[in-house]
Amino acid sequence: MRILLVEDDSDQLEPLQAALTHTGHVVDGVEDGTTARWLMDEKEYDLLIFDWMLPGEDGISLCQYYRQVGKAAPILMLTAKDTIADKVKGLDAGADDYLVKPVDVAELLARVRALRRRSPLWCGDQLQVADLVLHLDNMRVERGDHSLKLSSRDFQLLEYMLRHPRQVLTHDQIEQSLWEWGSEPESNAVTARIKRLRQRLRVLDAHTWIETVYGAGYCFQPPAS
Amino acid sequence: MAGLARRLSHLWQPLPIRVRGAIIIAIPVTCLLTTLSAFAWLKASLAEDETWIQHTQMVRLETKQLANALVDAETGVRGYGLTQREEFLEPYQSAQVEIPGSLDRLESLVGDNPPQVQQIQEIRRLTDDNLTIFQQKLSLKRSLQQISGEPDTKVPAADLYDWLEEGKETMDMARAAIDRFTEVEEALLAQRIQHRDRYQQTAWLALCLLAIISLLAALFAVRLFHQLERELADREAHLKTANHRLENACNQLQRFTADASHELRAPLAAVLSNAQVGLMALDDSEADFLEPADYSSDIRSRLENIVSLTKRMSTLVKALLFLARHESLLAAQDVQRVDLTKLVSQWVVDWQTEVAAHQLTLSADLPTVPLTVNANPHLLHQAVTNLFTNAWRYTPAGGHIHLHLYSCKDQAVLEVQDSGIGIPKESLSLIFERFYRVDAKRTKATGGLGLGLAIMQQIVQAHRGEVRVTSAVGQGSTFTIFLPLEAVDLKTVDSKTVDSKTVDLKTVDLKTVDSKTVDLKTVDLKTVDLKTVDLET
Repeated sequence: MRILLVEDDSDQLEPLQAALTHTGHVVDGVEDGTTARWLMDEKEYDLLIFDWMLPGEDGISLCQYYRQVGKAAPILMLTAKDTIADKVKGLDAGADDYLVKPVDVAELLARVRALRRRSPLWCGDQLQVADLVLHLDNMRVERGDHSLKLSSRDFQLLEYMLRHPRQVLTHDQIEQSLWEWGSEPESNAVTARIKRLRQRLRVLDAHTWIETVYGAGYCFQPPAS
Repeated sequence: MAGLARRLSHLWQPLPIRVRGAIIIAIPVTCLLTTLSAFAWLKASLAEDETWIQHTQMVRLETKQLANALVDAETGVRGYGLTQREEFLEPYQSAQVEIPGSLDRLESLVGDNPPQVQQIQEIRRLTDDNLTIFQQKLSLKRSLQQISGEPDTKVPAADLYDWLEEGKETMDMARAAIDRFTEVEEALLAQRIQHRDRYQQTAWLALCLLAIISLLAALFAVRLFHQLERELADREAHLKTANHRLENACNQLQRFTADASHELRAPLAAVLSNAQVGLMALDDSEADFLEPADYSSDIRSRLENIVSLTKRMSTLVKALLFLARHESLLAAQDVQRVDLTKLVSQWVVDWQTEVAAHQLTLSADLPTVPLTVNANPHLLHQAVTNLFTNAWRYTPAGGHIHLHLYSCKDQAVLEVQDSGIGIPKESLSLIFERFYRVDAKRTKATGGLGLGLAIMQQIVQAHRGEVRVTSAVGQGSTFTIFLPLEAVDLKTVDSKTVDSKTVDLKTVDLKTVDSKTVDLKTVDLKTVDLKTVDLET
């Protein structure tokens, strides 16, 4: 899942970003409202997490803007403002959930999962293509009797491919989807990650399912049974 | 002079306002009284003088009459001597009657003046002599006539002159004596008039002087009064400034607490997230290696410590922020009409699981009628939860917690009674203070912050309520919350709820049969009212 996390305090942003990344999400972390607004226009997100008080533009107006342009992805307000009036204001501005700092990471992750479930694209806590099953909640991949826990990077790539099976995915598409905003992937970064995922899937004997389409990119192609 | 004024002002300033006010009023009053008494005294003196003058004038008049009578007598005798006519003797005869009376009156008038009395006696002697002489002359004349036998016998002129001259000397002496007497009286009169005039002058002077003094005193009093007023105004202004400063300081402190609590949250959030992300990473590494290294469990316990400490810290910060926010009475928009009976019964249900987890039992005795109070339900829940948490924290397993809600006069009363360890008498007055703990070691074990009761009390006070506590060590404590009841508006009670109330009343009756816990307090006047309303409808 691609998440936009806006938090002006880098001390708080970094661990939250790490926790979300760790659980298999691609997280664009920004520290000011203006950049956040630009990113909201440029990219599609599955979830947005806003702090209230931000330099540039505050979380409430980001919320309102996002709803005004007609986008429906869930928004989670994560702020130190804890009065009932604040919560009402935040939720009325268009947020789907409201958490008061300091937040327990376990709770935040649970809320993120809960919000994901409410997405119109939601089709269960697992993704399945042929007999390969990817569990979204614990990042395990399963085929037959074998199962395997993936690292967050491998999980992100596999999730992306399983969401677009039998489609040719270009280097550029993969880069855009799986690398955080602001990071500069090396030229062979996509190739290296594909290679690593294939190695991991070897245990499940599914490494051949990722096909290389020369001159175009890659394609997740389960064997026709 | 200036030094004296300063010294007086030094004596004046420290006097209490009551004394100063009395002095200020006393100054003109004293002046007024002095003036009045002085005036009265002068008036009395003048009246006395006047009496004396009148007295003297009477003496004068009497003397004149005496002198006239004497002259009349003499003239009468002479006229008779010259004319031999009896009618000339009339003035003489009347004078003869008049003179002794006149002399008596004079003597009594000048009785206070011995020299004049002497003088009067002298006059009396002389007039007596005169009268005797007149009498002798008359008898002589008459006897002469009888001898001659003729009424118109010519008396030789020389004889007549002699006759006439006879007694002149005595007469002159009498006159002189009367004149002397009159002179003395005149002198007395002049003296008395002078005395009176002098007194009159003095009286005027004194009156003017007193008036001036009174005026000055009044002005002085007004000045002192002004000074006092200014001083009071100064004092008031000073108090106002002090009050303002105190208010500011109080606000600043409150704002500081709020700001500090708020600012403390950011680093706490970061610490908490970091520790928890660290724990997640640890989970992963342990999953990768089937046998975790020794240091990994050490790191885990330390990270878990950080998490629990941070959570504790953040609870504390939250509690402090809460206390800072709810210092004053709740505003009208923060409260609503709530039914305490309904709220408490809901809470009791909510707490049952918690109570069971601590091997305690919880019972409740609730009224059958709604108890409406103006309150913020969230805050009220927080307050009662704090009390409840306190109760189960300090009640050993197997203990009992009892809630009793009832109305008493115009108050809703909620009692939370536990069979816990109790609170020592000397700590009872302190338990509502922030961070106070009866037994620090024990509280640490139970995880309290020492703020729960302070928050509870503050919430209740913000609702215009009151908290009381009674406790016996080893037997348990009872906390009682009093909240002002809202007047029940009969219009809002529709027939449906009234019906349900009457049903409830029956159950109350049934309960009272087997249990003594439901007392008659719960069936108060309001229920009776509701019943009658029901009957009418």
